[in-house]
Amino acid sequence: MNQYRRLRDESSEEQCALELEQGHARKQPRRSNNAKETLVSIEQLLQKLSEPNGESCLTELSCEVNGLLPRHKMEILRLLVQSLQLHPMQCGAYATFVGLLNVCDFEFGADCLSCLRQQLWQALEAGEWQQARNLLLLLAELVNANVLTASSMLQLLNALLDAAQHDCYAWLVLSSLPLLARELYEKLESGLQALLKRLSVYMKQRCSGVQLQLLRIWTLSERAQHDYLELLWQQVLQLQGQHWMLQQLRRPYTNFDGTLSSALQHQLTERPAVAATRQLRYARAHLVARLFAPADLPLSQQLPAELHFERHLIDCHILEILQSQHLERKRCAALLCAYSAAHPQLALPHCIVELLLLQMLQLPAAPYPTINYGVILIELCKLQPHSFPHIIVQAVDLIFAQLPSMSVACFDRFVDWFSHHLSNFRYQWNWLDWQQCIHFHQLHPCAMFVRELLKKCMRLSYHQHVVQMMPAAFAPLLPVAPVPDFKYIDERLPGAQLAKQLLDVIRSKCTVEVVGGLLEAATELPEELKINVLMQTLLHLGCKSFTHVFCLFTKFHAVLKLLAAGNELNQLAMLQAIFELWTNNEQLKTVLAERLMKMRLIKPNIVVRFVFSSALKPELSKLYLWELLNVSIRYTKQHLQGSEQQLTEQLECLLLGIVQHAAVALAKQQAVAAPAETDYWSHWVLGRLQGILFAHVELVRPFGDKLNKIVSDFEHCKRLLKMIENYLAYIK
Amino acid sequence: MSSSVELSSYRDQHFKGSRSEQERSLRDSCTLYVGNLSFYTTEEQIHELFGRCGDVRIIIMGLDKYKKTPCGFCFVEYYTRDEAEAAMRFVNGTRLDDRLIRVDWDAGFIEGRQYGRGKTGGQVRDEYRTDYDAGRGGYGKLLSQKIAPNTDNR
Repeated sequence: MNQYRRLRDESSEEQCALELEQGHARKQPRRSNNAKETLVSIEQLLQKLSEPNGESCLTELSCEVNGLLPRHKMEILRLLVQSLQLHPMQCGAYATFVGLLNVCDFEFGADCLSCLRQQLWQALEAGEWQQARNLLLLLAELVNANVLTASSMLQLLNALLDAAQHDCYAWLVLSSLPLLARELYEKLESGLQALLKRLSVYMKQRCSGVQLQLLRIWTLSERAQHDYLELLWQQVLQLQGQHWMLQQLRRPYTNFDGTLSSALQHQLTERPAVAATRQLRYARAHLVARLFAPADLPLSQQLPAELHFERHLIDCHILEILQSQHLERKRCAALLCAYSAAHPQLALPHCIVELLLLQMLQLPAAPYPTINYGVILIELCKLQPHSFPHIIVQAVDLIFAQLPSMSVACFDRFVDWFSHHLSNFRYQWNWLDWQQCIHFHQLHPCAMFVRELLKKCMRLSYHQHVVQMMPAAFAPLLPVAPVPDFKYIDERLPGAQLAKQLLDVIRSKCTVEVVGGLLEAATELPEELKINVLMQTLLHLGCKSFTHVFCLFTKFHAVLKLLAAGNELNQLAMLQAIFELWTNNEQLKTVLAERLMKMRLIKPNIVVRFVFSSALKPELSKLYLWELLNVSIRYTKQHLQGSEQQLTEQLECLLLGIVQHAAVALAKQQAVAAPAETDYWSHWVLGRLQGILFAHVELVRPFGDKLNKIVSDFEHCKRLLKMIENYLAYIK
Repeated sequence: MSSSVELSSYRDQHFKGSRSEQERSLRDSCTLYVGNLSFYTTEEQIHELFGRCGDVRIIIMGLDKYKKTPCGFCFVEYYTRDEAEAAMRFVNGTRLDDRLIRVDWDAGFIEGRQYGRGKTGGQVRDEYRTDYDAGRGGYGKLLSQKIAPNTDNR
């Protein structure tokens, strides 16, 4: 140990000398100038601490800071807290830094603690749980760095448990306790045991939710899906079994034991102000799922078992990088690779892919958009083409194998991500591995997955491309060519005469009035047929691109408006015409229906009514109709004008409408369908309804009771009732 | 490393207004310029990709000034700045039709800007290119004019 420490110190001195040499010119004016530059360089050094092997600059950092301390205490503390929030897992390095300063300046140690305490109180009061956890991690490490007494930290953790009205408090204690547990174990064992006893009581009486069933990515699966707090508790218990010896943690303060042990320690006296009466936003419970089993990992690498606290630390490291860098995909991927390169003996690339994919699939919603995870995975593949692409193949195959029990909301995100991923890798895939799904029922999840996936690939490329890239055996799952079907080509159809006239005048660039006149003159045709003819004609003429058809819509807006205004049947007829002409083009059906809403020609509730019309029943098992429903919700949210109250009412009305219609459809299906296990249609409809409810949890919460009222009329639809019941329990 | 939503060094020389006005409109803009597209990439494909970052308000395809056919660029406008930033972050430098496409801020579409500004009607960059790019009409325009007589003689 001594020898190691000496080596360590030498290397930091070398580093110091090197920096001095390089930075000589840079440092010169700093002395005469102001302290601003030094603060900048402190910020950079704090940043550097967070990098692998960044501890080497600790000595330098404390040298730099020492000179500035008296005058710039507040700035330095601000920088410290800021760095901590970005890189909480580096709390050991930050604690050592504070520890070294505390040795020379006891008062700074006191100020630092009072600042951290104040920040913690604020975070607790505001319900900023993540921030509170980060502060607690640092406080725990400050015990190890000999700044804070173990007993006062124990008191603080006990005080948090006193306040535990919610899992969040237990989570805070369980996250931070292991960092100083060894210290407590050696010095205050009885106190540690008492705290663990309290935690155990809490964990036993905690009603770990039945409603969490709903959050499972896979309903039946051998893969673990743990309640986040229960998992953490198991991991803590496992660490206790190891006598609190942590291997995966950087403990830079051990290199400075000699110096640090000479310092005086501080006490934390006050108890945290826990807002007992205020309504706090508590973090929602979630599940932690795993994809890879130990047998899936390479022979030369391993991972700590999932119930080991070390695994929790690895997850925290990866999540920290993701959280702070997800918007900068290149930097994020580079940091993830650096983290994994620093631990070559661990199967970190597997862990990274698993975490990214499963967070993307997380229910009720992922923290970031699907494409965000997609681009980070793409960058990882670019940086390490010999490891990540293979791991992704492995992961996709594992998920594919479990599609039959996958929640539909996750299924849809998986389709979205994988189509985009393929489009960035020339659509290369071992399709033949999935050949068995050709023989499955056409609504079986595996067959459905390939079908939906190919449709999305087609949207990102083109039909011919998809046909060419697929092995011949997949013909039954290929998308139909998305070409228009203008029915009035057949001159015997009623309305064909009018269609021909309209085609001629519109082609010769006529005015709106001429079209209006022709429509009025065709008195022999019922109004809905006239609308069908007009819409089909416009769509046919504009079939070359969105721009073409949008231009025609805009040009003839006045006529369309006149027909649509306040007349629901006419609005339905407009949608009907789109769905007839573009019957094989799902993208156009959705985009054009959205366009009509944005042009204020049709109302969102008409879209809902149309989607659930009996003619579209077979289509309801497909992804695109539910996308259209989501689009109509988005439209209501973002584009409709009116007071806030009106908007809320409209949204409520729309969402309740969707639930009501879906319930009716499910009830009808149940009357005619096979037993529940093979009724794939209901699986898709119920699953997508749940997906919509999950996507709008905040919207639904205020009127949750009304959902109950709606489904209470459908007593025999057991699966629907169960889903709504679980959902309401979850959002409560 | 710079942030992926920062302005690039490119400035449209035809902008009507001062340099600082231009910077300001770029910083508030919800419009993006999308470049290095294949001539064959359609509006529908662009909508599918950019729709994954937000609600697309409008797509304006870049056209050859004379032939009125797509010439490898377009403008995408979103409703909000956040959506446009997401596209800068998640689409710039990724593939569409197997080409790495470029996404950059644009000060907002003005009629006329949908046309290529090169002498031959397409984008200027396609005039001076010396490589062969099947997705963008083969060799650069100037080069292919030189090559063309030869092929005629054969």
